[in-house]
Amino acid sequence: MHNLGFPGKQQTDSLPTMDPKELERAFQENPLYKEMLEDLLKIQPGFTPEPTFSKNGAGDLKSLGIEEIRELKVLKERERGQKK
Amino acid sequence: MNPTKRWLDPYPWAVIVYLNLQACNSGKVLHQAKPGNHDDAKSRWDTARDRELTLREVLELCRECHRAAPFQFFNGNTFASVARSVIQDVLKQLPPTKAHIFKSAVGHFVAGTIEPPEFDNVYKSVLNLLKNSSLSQNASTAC
Repeated sequence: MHNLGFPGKQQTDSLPTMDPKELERAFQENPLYKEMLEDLLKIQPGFTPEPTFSKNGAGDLKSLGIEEIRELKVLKERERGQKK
Repeated sequence: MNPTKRWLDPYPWAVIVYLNLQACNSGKVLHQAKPGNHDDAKSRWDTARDRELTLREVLELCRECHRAAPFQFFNGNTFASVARSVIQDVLKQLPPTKAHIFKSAVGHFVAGTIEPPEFDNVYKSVLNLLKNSSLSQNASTAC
């Protein structure tokens, strides 16, 4: 195993060159990183933790189901409204 | 006109590692790299970051890095969220429905649940849309 250099019980080493505190601040302040982190956590339930794609070449992202369809319907309605 | 761009400039490897840390904390699993896999993926990422690439090449790299499994857990959503972030500027130039479909297709492509030929159909339709839109002339040339 390989430590990755971030605070927490598993990390003791520091591989990445960026200061972990600076990085943490960047994720709190930079809208690009903030949105990316929010998106990561939003889609997380669709993924299994284990690296199945590397083992069998088939990924395992589950659809967000009804939520995704509902979102799409709302967008479509909005588009129709704009066209009128 | 330059058909490529340094899409990965805002995404140093340390950011990828931090994202994976957050995914692991949220999923209550150990945040650890896979020796060998991690260094290979990092080196590919760092090399690509210094180069001007097409958007298609960047998305392929995210998929390959997911497949390379540099981390013990949650490689999929780590790289899918990076890819979905990279396309933000493109999404802003698409109609909402198309943007939603493209974002979802990018996530599934990087996750490995849709194959390149299927993804390319969506990708090409997005490119055509961008090309046909006079407002998005610059963005489409960088794809």
